[in-house]
Amino acid sequence: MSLLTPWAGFFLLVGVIPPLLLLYFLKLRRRTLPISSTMLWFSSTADLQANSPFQRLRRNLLLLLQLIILLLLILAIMQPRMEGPRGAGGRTVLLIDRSGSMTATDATASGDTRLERAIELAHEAIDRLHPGGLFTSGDGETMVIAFGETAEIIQPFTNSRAQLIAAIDRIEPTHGESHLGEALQLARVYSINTNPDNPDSPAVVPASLELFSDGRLSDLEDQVLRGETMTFHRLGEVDSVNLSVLQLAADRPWESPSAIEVFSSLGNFTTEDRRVDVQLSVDGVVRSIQEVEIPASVDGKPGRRSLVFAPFKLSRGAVIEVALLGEDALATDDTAVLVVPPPRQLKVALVSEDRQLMARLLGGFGLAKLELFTPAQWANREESDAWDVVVFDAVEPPSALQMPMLTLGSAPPSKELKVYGRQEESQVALQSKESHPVMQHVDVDSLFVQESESIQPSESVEVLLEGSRTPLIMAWDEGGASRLHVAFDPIQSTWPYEPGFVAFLYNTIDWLGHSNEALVQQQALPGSMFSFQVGAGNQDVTLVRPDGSTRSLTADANGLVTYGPVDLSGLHVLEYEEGESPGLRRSVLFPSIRESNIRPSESITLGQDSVVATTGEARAYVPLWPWAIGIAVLVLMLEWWIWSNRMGGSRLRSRTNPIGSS
Amino acid sequence: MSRFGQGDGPTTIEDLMGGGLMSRLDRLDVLSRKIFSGKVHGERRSRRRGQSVDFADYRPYSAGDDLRFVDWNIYARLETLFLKLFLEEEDLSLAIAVDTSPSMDWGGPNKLGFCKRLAMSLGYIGLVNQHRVSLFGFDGDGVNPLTSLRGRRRTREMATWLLSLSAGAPGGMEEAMRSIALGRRGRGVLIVLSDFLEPDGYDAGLRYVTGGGDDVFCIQVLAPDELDPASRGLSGDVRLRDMETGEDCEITVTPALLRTYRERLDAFCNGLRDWCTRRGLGHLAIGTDVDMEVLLVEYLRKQGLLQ
Repeated sequence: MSLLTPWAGFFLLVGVIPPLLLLYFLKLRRRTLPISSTMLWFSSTADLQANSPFQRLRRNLLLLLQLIILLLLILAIMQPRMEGPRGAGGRTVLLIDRSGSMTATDATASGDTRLERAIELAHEAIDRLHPGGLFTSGDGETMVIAFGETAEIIQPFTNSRAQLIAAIDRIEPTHGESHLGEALQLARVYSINTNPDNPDSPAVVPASLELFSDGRLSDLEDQVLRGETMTFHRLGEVDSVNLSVLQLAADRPWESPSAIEVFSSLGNFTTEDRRVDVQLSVDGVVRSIQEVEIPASVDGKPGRRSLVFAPFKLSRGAVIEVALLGEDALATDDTAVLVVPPPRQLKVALVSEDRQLMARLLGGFGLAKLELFTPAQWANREESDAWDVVVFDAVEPPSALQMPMLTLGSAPPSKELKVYGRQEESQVALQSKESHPVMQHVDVDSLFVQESESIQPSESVEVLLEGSRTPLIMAWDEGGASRLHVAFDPIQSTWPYEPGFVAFLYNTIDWLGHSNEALVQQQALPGSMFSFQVGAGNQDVTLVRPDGSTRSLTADANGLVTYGPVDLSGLHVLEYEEGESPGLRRSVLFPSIRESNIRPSESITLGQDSVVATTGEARAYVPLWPWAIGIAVLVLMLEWWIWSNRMGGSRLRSRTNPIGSS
Repeated sequence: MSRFGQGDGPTTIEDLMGGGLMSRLDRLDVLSRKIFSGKVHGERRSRRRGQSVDFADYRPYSAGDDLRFVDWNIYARLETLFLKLFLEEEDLSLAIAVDTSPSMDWGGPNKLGFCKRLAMSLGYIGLVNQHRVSLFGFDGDGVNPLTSLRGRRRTREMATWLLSLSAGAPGGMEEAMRSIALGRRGRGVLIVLSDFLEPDGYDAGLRYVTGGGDDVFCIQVLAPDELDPASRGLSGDVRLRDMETGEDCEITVTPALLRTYRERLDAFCNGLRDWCTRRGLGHLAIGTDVDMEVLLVEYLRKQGLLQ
């Protein structure tokens, strides 16, 4: 039992009880009455005391009863409440976790997934909340929210049992992380009651929340309960075994573009070292199987093992799959796929005023074709020529160029950039975004820029190098093509004399040239968006998801198809008809770092409230103050009855004379 | 609601005994379960064998007996001489002892006033029937006697004496009973009017009058305030002060206490009745609110004190 306002009761206790005692004892002034003999009275009181161990209390019974009444009223003011079973009535929100960890098959002995068990429990909750009896259908309303990477209202508040059950049965698993915050926000928004008489002051009626989850929630630290009561139905077994492929990457070696090298990182989420066979497949054909030992997890962090497969020739595009052989509780994270594009040598156009530096550097990159243009030649080129990357070296690029473009020293006309002058004061590099593929292995510590453009980038522009005065390198997408702009002429800096400039230039050409292809080294995660360039003639396309289901999509006028947020990990294939052209493929990696740790939590903490998992029915706080008031009234009636009896209300039956002769 | 324990006693002879009651008492007489020898011939049969016409018994003849009383019919049948014995009619000595201790001057109606009226009625019956009537008032100060009254003309004297009785010092029953028992020159009927709420107990005093051969009758007088204190206004938290001892008893009146008190009172009255019965004494407990005529004509006749 807990008290909502204990201090109010304490002050009342201190302020009321002592005066009552004082008044009571002051009141006890006995009137003196003469009597013929006290002999019988003495023996009567002695007899009464001998027969009642609580005689002293009984003598002050009225005081005792008054104290009980006061204490009960004070208790009512302190608003006691007790956790107890909750029945029908009120507003209830069923929060059903459908994240990746909920696909673990350890919910029941028969191998049901946690999500399937959660749906079963939600059915039972619906049965409890909407029993459907003639007198029990009640006024309770229930809402169903499924959440994972994002939250979705499956069914708004309703008292229709059929609608609720149908909605719950529609819930499908996803492979994203668990984010409870959005689900809580939705529940609160829908819990607002607007008074028709006073629409300006909507009243939020805290709903009762029933959470069906394994407790592996990634955003718990930011969440608090705002008056809601929460029941946590925990799913899953604490001793389940799970190993996973944490990461998968591939690269074509610099010196051998037709070969490929596959890297993977494996994780062990158990407390023991585990041996497992790892299978590498290329387009469904097994290429190798290795047995590796993955160390045990320590302090909740998974044990990691990196695995590098020997490079092999792969001169075409392929789907590479790494799978852990052997069964564990969560099969979804045992496999990771990667779409590797075919090796492709790039065609690059360099537009400059006859400057040699860039031409020499680009000539050393082994490109399929490098063609030099002056600005005039570029303006008069044949439109049918397609280039993988166009480099504008200190010349003003034209507008409306739908090709990946690197501009040096002169910003392209773009709505994303606002050039407001030139920065003639020298500056140095301040902060480099090393995680971006373009800036990897690029040392800018000794970069000194003498003169640069003053540019204000928009929010969608990613600044890759921040100078001490202005942004120096920035990247963005525009017109379906990537753009990268260097805000200074390299000649006006120390960069051409440093090895980092060569690495930057190579990274940039490589990134711009392959930016519309599937990522090889950095995979998408659930929750992200896909975009496919299918050409202007393909309006209706079909996306085949990893579980075999399909989604019909429509391309826009530019032939761009977008899909997302992605909810399943694995291989997504976009099928469309264009002769015999193969479909576009994207791979999505299971978010193993958070979701593969499937050990269910005993409790979850939201702010200061700790919600312990329950295996029984839903609990709720039952207010006890009406009981206290009711008992106080009963005691008051008893006290009145005793008082009236003492004051002469009770009459012993008079006996006719003679007496004592019976 | 009456005031608890408050009541007035008689102040005039008319209060003691009205004319109507007097005329109805003329038909009553005191009845004794024993036959007493008196000083003069009276209207009452005596145990002493005498010369009345009432046959009493036979006894074998012995030398010197009056041959006039030999039953010759029995001699003719049995050839043995038997003498016929006859009862002798004698007067009756009626003694009425009134407790005047402070506990008697209490109650509504007042217990002492009730006893005065009852003593007046009983004494009047005795006087009317030519009995020798003696009255005693007793308390801690001693015994106040009025002895040897006979005949209706002594009624006023008796009434005046009764009106002059007032409550005295507490206690005194034992001493008074001893004094009355020793001072009784003849034997007869002794009626003790008291509440018997003696701090030292009633048995020591009554034991003096049980051995003397008197036909003793104890009339226990209790006020309604004692019989049913709740109905007479006793409630709440009170301090009861004993009129005899001055001792205080603090009580909180509850149904349970009243119930226990009633049980104790019944036990006390039953104890007195059993004590009297075992020793051949008559006993009657009576409330002061009972009608005097009902008491005399019904209760005392049923108890065998009056006829």
